[in-house]
Amino acid sequence: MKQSRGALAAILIVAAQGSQPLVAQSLMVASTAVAVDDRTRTGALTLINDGITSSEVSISTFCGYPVTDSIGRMYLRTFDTVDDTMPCAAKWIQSFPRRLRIEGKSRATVRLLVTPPADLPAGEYWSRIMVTAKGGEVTLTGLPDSARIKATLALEVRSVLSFYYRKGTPETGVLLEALRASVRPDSLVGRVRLTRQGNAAFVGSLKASLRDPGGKIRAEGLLPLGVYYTLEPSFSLPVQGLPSGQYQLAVEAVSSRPDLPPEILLQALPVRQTIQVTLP
Amino acid sequence: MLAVLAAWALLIPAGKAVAQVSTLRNLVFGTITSGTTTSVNKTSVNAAQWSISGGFLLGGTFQFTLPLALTGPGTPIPITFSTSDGLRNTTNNPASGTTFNPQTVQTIPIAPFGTTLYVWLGASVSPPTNQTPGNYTGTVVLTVTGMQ
Repeated sequence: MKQSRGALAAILIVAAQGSQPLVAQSLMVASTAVAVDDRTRTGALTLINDGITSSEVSISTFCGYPVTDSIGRMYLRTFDTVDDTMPCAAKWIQSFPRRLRIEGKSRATVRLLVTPPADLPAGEYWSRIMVTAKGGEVTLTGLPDSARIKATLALEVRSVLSFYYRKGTPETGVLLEALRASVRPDSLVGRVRLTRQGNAAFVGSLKASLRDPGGKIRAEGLLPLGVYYTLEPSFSLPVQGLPSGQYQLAVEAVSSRPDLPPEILLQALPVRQTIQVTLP
Repeated sequence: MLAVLAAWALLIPAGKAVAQVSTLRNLVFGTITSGTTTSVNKTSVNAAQWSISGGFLLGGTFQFTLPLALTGPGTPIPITFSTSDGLRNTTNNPASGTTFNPQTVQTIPIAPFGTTLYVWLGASVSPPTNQTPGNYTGTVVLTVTGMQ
């Protein structure tokens, strides 16, 4: 009886595996941003296949940068054609290799070589790097019907990272304007306009804090961002339970991000703006 | 709501410049019958599933590019993804997830370090009656973008 139960369990496991194929394709990229200067013109990207199956990987580049929509959500604006005024480095980047196969539980390094035009002015030039990973195709049908229709779905994952090519000593900064806020039942929703200064993107964070009349911080938060031209993001702070009255809302733009090491980021002086808000 | 700031975002340690996207499971329709629609619910164990972690959870976005049909030896088989076929959650539990339209760009809220965003996708296939036998294929693309 024990044996037959064991056999039944084995059959059930096999059946479950047959009807539920594990793709287990997993690609880790490090880092999420790559900065290359004009002295070395080279960079590297580490790709780690943490899955159990091999992955076909390809590297490509395109132009794009974060913008905000009408309600302050950030998204990546991309361009099929790039005009001369946009400092786009996408066409100058070559990856070695461009396509590779990474076995399960192994890693690979992709070298990035930048070949800019000879007369390139000093400054910062941007691109996005897309790492495309394809796993093996998986049959959708567990048991084909009498018509013998088989369907196969390929799953492809694209990871989009940022890239900066810096010639000379580019400088960045940011201007904060038009800070405003509206009170919702459980949150304070604010927006502020950030305009990049200098000749390089401002990649950093926006810190927000809400202080009571006694100067005590009652809510705070952090919004990592990249300002390439202008950005007008929205943010919210929890205010549920706070007593009614006057508060000071402060935002500060700083050139640090929790996910990126300082050597990738250009330093800029922090800037700050405050307004008074009334909680009902 | 929007690009959310929260105090716990400050807990993320500096310099964690890695990001990871994993395909955990493919769609499984089971038996496909000509002339009928076969659907996979986004909360079922047969839904496709991915996980997103690391630097992408700092206000990034994700977006699907979905096929309209599976192509093969005969008439293409329509595959549809309804406006409620997407599901997301910060725990590996579709039952408590939030439904989304897989045809639109999705903002990833800022999350504490170590958080994983799970994404599920359901779909329906409708092979016409007397569908030519054979293998039919399509590609689902998931694009995850960091907002640096």
